[in-house]
Formats: sequence, structure tokens, C-alpha cells
Amino acid sequence: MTSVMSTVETKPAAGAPMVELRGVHKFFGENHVLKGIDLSVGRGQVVALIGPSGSGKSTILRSINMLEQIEAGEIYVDGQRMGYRADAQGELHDLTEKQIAAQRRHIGMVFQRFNLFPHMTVIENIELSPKLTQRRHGPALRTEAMELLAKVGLSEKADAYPAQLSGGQQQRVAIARALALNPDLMLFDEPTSALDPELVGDVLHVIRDLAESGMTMLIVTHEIGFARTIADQVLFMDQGIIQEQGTPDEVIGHPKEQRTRDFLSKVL
Amino acid sequence: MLRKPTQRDGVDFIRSRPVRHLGRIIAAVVLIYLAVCLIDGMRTNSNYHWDVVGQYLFDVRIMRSLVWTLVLTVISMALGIVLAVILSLMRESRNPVNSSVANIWIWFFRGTPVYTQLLFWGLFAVLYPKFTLGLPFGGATFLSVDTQQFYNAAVAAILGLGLNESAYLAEIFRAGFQSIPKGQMEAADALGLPRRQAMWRIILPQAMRVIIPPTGNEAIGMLKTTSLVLAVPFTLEITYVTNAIANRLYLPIPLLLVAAIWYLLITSILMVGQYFLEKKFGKGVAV
Repeated sequence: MTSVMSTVETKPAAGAPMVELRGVHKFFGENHVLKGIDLSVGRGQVVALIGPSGSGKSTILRSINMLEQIEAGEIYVDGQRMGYRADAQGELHDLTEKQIAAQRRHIGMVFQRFNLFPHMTVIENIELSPKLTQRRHGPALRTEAMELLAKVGLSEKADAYPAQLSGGQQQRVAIARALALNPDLMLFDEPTSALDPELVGDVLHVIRDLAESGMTMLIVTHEIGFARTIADQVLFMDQGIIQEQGTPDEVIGHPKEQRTRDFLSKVL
Repeated sequence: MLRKPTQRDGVDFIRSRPVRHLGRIIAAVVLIYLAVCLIDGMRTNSNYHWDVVGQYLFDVRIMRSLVWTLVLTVISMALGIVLAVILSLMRESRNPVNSSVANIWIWFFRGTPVYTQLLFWGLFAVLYPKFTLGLPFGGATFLSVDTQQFYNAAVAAILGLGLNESAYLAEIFRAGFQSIPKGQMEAADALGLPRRQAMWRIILPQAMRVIIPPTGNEAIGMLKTTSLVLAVPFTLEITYVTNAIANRLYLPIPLLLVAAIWYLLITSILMVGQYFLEKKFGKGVAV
């Protein structure tokens, strides 16, 4: 129970998985969207979630950083229980908004619709969270933000506003912004679904670089080919349940479940 | 009118005769005729008493009343804005007491005439001669002062105008906040920004774009609503003062013109201010 009791600052035991879900359930009203999800992602692992729309893939991602509140189960990131702390009697308490914000800073998230802040320039978007949460500013921060921007290949766009960028460029800025707090984990929620086909490649390239640098990542994607080459593990989800999981070769190459085969035959 | 280019890079552009809109031309001529008549009439009609207008336009009493009008407008508007921000936050509260109080407040102040409210605030000191803070049902008293000590016609006027305004502004602010896509707050949450910072740095600056134009309207409306504070009665603002002078001179028209000129001038200045505010908060909008 120590990990449950630990507060935000406590370091977990080495070797613990970066992300762990145990029996996670989520309801939207009457709609039971996650039906007992168990999932473990090791450090540096890349996990791709595939499956039809409405299967609950995005909800898993959004539950991990508490954009959605789960009704049952436990979620741990880096050994810490997300959203709750247990007291000495083992009773659960909600974390405060401040504590939740602190937990989220270990997790970077990239959205389907980018969600850049339109009234700020590219560099301001990237610098915002270190500025506000780590009280950093000045040339050191600027250098770091510019390095991130260079990483996603957009150094020359530092002073542009999001509306002046293409969708693919905006998504790469969003990735740089998510990396600005040095997260331990990155969540990608259909990062290329809103993009014109010719812009998808640049974004996937950036994600691939990130995977190769050893970042732990969960990616919800419809790009089956991409999932196959980048992921260490592929999960196929349908109707709120992980129907099949394994290496890309197992799940995409030689699916055992009929549902998986049906889905893959439609999208491949 | 600017002539269209006839060719570029060796390409001849289409040349064609534009359609003549006879109706538009006739309407324009009629309007010009009427405008000339109006201006000429105002110039030659001696009942306007332009000499009296000139004489009183910068009169010291008028200047003083102008300052009071501006003071009422600015302070009431500021009070309205502060209250409206609180109200729109209360309405979003998950605590039903907070949201209900806000809703009842808005219901009451939007549902009664501002003139009635001003009359009420004028009678406040009669209604509550002593202002006492304590526990209800005859419990302990923490504070007790004569209402007259802090309450006068100016305070009544500002309360009347500001509280009424807060109800309208709360609606405007809510519309502004609701216009921001949900993804903005989610992005701020995902970055681990504290709620207050997210509101202040992400949501509010974007909502301002939606909030400023109608709030500018409200500010202009407030300027003119100050003319109603004689209900309190507060007698130092420009409508009351010009009216009093007019009654003494038996010349209502020129003094009305004096007031109208000043209202127009201030409204114009407010509109310029609004233009610059809109420009400041329009950053990053797709062109």
C-alpha cells in the first residue's frame, strides 16, 4: 500500500511500470465506455491503441491524466495513484486541484485538434507552462524552447501565431509544448486524425524520433501502418474492453480474435 | 473612385460596363437633399439659440457636472464589472447555493426598471437608519453604524447603477466564457496549469474578444443611464444641471443641445477606446 499512500513528491520503487491501470471502469451516464481495463506500460515502452471509434481508446488516455474521472479502478503513473491519496486507515481522499495539476505535469498530452492557445505565439505557447508552474523565464528558458522547436523542425515559426500555421505545423508545436515540462510520459490522442493526408508524415516523423529517444508513450491512432512500426505493444480495443494485445506482429500481423480481423480488414 | 487595373503581366482583364442601380442613386440624392435642408434649418432657425449653446458649452457648472457624469459612469461600470465577474464564477459553481444566489440576483436586477432601483437606493437610509452586522434572531452584534455616516446620494446612485449593470454584464461575460472551445481548458489542464492561471492567461484573454463589443455598448449605455439618477435624487450630473439652467432661462432647447453635444463627445471617445481594446485582444485571430 505504500505507493497508494505516497504523495506527489515521493519516488516510486525502481522497476515499477510507468503506467498501470487496474480494473478501470468509466461511465458516461448510462453508457459504460470502459469495462474493466487492466494495462501496464513499462518505462520507455511505446503502446499503440487501435480500434473502432467509440471503443474507449481516447477515454483511457483522458482518464490517465484525469481529464475524465473514472468510476472504479486504479490508475498509477510512475507508481503514484492518480487523483487520490489514501490516509493511514486506507481511506481514499480526493486530491486538491493543485495536487492534480502537479501530477499532470509529469504527463504530456497531444490532442487530435492541437488545442494551441490562439492568442499566443508559438514560442509563448511552449514557454507558458514552465513559466507559470516552474517560475522560469529569461534566456535559458528561451534557449530550451527554441531547442524543442528545432526538434519538431519549426525554428523559423517561433513568432508566428497558430492560425498562421498548417495543421501539421500546429500539431508539431503542440508536441513541443507538451515536452516543455520534461514529462515522463506522453499521451497522443489521435494526433494525425485532423490533418490533411500530406501533412501526416511530418507529425509521425516527430513522434517516431521521440519514441527512439526512449520516451514512454501511449498512442491512440488510426494509422495502423505507423502503429505497427513504432509500437512495442499494440492493444486492440472494442466496446470498452481490450480484446487483444501483444506485439505488432501478433495483433496486426496475426490477429487471433475475429473482431480484430474484422476491424483490420476494414482499415488496412 | 480607384480605377481597376486593365492588365497585368501581359494579361488583359475583362472590361465590362457595370450595372446602373437607379434606385440607389435616387435614394442617395434624396438623402443629400434632406441632410442639406436639416443643416440649413438648424443654422437659420433662431429657436435653436446657438449663441446660448456657445455661452454655456464650457460653463463651469456644466464642466463640473460633466466630471460627475464621468465619475458615475466609470465607478458604476467598474462596480458592475467586478460584481459580474464574481456572479459569472458563482453561476458556474457546483455548489447550488452559490449558483442560485447568482441566478436570483440576475433575475431581480434585470427584472426591475433601473429607475425603480434608483428610487429604492435613494430611500435606503430611510429604510435602514442603522447599519448593523451581527447574528440574526437577536444574537450578538459585531458592528453598528448610522447609515448616514457612509451613505449619501452619490453612493446611492453608484450602487443603483452598478448593481443593475452587474446583472447585464454577468450575462455578457457568461456568453464570452462559453464561446471558448472546451479544448482550451483541457490543454491548460493537461499542461498542469493551476486553474486560476488557466482562467487568467488562457480563457479570459480569449473571452475578451467576445466580451468587449457588448461591454462597450453597456459603457455607452451607462453614460446615458446616469441621466436617471435624479430619481435618487442625485443632482450634480449633466442632464440635471443643464435642465436646471434651462428652467431658469426659460430656454430648454439650447441647454439640451449642450448636454447632447457632451454625451456625443464622450461616446465618441469611448468608441475609440473600444476600438483599441478590440485590437489588443484580437491577436492571433485568423485573417
